[in-house]
Amino acid sequence: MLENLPYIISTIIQPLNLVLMVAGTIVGIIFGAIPGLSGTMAVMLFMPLTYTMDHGTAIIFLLALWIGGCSGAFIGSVLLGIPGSASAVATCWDGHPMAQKGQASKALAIGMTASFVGTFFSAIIGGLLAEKVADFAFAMGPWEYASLCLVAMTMVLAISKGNMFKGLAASCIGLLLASVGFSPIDAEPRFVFGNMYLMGGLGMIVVLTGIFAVSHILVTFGKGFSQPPEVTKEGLKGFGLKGKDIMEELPNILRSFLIGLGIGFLPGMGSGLSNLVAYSSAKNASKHPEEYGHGAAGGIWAPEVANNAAIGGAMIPMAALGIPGDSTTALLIGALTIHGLEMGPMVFKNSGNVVYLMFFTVAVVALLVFLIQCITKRWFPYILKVPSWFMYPALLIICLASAYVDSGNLYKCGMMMVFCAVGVLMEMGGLPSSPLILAFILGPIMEKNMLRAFQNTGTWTTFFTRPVSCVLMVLAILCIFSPILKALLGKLKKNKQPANS
Amino acid sequence: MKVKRDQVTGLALILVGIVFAVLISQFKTPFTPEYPGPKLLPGIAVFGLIVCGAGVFVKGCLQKEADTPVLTGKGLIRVLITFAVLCLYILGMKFLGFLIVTPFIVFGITTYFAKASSVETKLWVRIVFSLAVTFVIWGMYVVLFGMTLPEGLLFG
Repeated sequence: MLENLPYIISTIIQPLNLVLMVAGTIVGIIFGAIPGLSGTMAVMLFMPLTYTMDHGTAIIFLLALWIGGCSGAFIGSVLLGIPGSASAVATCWDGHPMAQKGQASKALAIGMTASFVGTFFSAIIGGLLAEKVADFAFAMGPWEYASLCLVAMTMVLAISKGNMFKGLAASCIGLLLASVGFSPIDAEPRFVFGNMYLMGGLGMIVVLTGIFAVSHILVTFGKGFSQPPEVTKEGLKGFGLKGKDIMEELPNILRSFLIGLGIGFLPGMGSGLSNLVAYSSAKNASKHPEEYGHGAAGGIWAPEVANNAAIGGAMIPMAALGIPGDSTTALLIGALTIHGLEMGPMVFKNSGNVVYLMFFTVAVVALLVFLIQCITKRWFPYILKVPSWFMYPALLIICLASAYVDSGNLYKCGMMMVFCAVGVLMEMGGLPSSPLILAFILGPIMEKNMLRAFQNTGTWTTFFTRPVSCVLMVLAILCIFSPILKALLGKLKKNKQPANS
Repeated sequence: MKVKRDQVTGLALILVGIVFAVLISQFKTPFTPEYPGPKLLPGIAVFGLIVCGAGVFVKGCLQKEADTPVLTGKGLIRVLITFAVLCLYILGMKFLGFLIVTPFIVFGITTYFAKASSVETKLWVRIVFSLAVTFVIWGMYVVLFGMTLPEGLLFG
């Protein structure tokens, strides 16, 4: 690992890379802070800009956008009581009440410090563990890879409350979209209708920007923009946090960090779940659980450390296995493939320096985010007051420019509008978009490995006779049926209670 | 009886599943238990869509109260108008190029978004904003990163 240090440092200190790192971080924080936008959307919109960059520069820029977005999400939660993204939902429950008590500065300082702790240390641990996981991955065959992809897709369903059919349907739409173009191994054209633009498959930017970004903007407008919100500005002076405050919360920080790292590592899950689990654990372990929900410091530390620790956790399977931990790492895998870097165990042999650059960049960006947030804290309220009628038209133009740059022709812009219509219809039908993203990215990997597995043994039973593959397959099946199992268990518990009483 | 959202969604999913099932059946490489071939991935997707569609439909039938619609009639019209404007924008870029069409479209959408939100914005602010957005995006993509944006058939 240390032999890569000269490459890492020489790449990071290049002036262009430093400028892009700062710019990406600032843009990421803004996207993270504004409810409705997110770091994932920032990565998606600006990804085509990286096509002309060398891979080191592209990695630095995209990671800065992602980390900035993850970290900035708490700003909306604290100052508005509306989470910037799903990763900061639990931060609202204590962050906003604390701000309303006139302690906005302290709430923001906790968010900033917790974000830094979570991201920085998870990147270090991720960097240390990733190669070990990759060594283990060498023993995995196509059966295990295919099963792992299936687990990643189905785990999203396990956490979609009361939405199993819809989540699964969204995954299936993602798989259908991933099928367009020539099939792997057999090279048979699928759903191309003789159209040359479809033969290479649907582009990631075109599909995801259309379904995820353009349709989201249109539906938000359709529902009606809200007026720029009233933001808590009181008590924003000073850093607001003392060393003693941090020491008091050390057990909570450590527990939340481990929760975030572990959940981030699980394929398909990420910061959206980790913040909720960490919050409830912190509340259960607290000596004063009654303070939670009324501005307890522990209620901000826990979700913010956990959702940022999920970053390093999610990067381990991304680098070592080529399997994304969440939708943003799925996008990053796609972006890195465009740059000729195929993630997976071989990446450490072929481009180990690039993988360590990724982890090192995350740690550096975590520090940069902290510094930028310390300097700009007093301006946070203004980010949240950007009027939607100015912001969204500009974003729409960026979406269309991204689609054009991605392919070099306007046909793909038209295709993006088709996917925008699909996204609007999905929203109207209540279908979630995250399972679609994961399935669209993971579908081709899963198919390639499944077909290879069938080529090797000629039977599906091998998926259940190989121990690791069997465990993963059973896990995937359990995830699919988890909402039904949960409901059954709940009923059983209810039935037992009256019998006991 | 009022039709519920999930009933419509479920039926739509089943319909999409059936259409794609017909398309899959036309693939040349056969599906065998020893080697499922190119029908495997879309086959899984179609099976899932039909099963889930049925599940969503049944859930909709069992639901006692209808969901609040995501978009009301007025909201849907707003979405359709913006969608049409963006399609016109793509067509405009094809003939006139990015630099000529973008300021007008940004101005139009900004004005429409503000009016629809019952907000008064100054004309000069919208004009400056439209020009700024156009030139910042053009500068970022073309000047800074050496990419191309549509130049238009009439000027390219």
